[in-house]
Amino acid sequence: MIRAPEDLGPEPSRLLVVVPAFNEASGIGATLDEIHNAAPQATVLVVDDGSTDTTAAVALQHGARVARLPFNLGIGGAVQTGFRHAADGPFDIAIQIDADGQHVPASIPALLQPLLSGEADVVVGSRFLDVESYRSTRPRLFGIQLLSWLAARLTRCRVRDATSGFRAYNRRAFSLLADNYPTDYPEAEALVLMSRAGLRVREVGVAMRPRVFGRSSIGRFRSIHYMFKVMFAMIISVLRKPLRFREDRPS
Amino acid sequence: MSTPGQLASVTSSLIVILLVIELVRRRKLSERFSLIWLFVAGGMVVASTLGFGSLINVIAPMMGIRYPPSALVFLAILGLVALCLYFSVLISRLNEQNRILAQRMALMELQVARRDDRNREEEQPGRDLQQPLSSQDRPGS
Repeated sequence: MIRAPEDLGPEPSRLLVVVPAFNEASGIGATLDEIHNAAPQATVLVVDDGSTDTTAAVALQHGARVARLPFNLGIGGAVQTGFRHAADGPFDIAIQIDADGQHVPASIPALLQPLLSGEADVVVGSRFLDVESYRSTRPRLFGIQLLSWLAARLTRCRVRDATSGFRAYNRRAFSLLADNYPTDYPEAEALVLMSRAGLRVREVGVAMRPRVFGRSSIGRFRSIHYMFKVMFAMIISVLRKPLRFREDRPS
Repeated sequence: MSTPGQLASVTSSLIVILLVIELVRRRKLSERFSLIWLFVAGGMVVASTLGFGSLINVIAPMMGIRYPPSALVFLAILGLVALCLYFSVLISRLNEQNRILAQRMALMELQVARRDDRNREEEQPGRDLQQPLSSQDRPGS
């Protein structure tokens, strides 16, 4: 286990937890409380992705910062807002976690470990590694495996849970993503981008639960469309030049 | 020599030109896009008055098309596809700019709200700093 505040430096505000939320008023309070218990030193930013319910008010009552997008941008646009906030602020590490309770915040320390030891730039929380974790439904499992396989074919990135949105990034990683993040269903494509940019991606086992509140943002027919879109985007991104870091650019 | 066909195409091109000019005058269409449409309509006028009809009779066999008017339709569709593609590119760019604007605005609002909260803390020193403000206290919510 990690003794959190000391390991993250003297400032208690060096860790930002980004929680994208779209109409999650019923579940987000419990998730925010769990995050606070798991990482009391963290600053929590809820990105309200144009919710029509009381998500923002609930988040404020539970002590989070809330950035309210004026209209729905989709998960990618919401998460990227969090990366921008992290890059604008004094943060060293940013964590991305779902608002609906599928990702168990108690796994945050495990997620931080490879970043704190300097072994990785990005850590993906996986439901397939040792920790007992909810493994999703069968068609969805197939989709996850297909995308993970494609990511492994396209880059050297060996991640088994390529669509997991439970991730931790160091400053180098989230600064890059603040300016370059895929929009609609970004997780697998972001893996390819990061891996090609030379970021070291690690995967650790985390606990996941079946969703308690709300409904998946992806329906059955849309998920087939989603698969094609993501695979196309992943292949296209290999045809582009790798992303470059700002400090690498000749001035 | 002017055939009824030429007359029809010149007339319809002129209507398009007038429509575009009127739309620009009412500020429904920006000059940037009006130029594309004026160019298209102008091209139609020139083509129909200079006897583009005979030119298509030469081009069609070169394309392996036996019935020249269908070559004309084919080229017209090709032009329209190009125009649609151009608009898709523009929409994509607008989308992207829109997304960045929304993100920047949300973060700026957050910054303003936090600054207001801090100012309020200074005015009311008795207030517990750890106590999050309720939504009613926030401007804009």
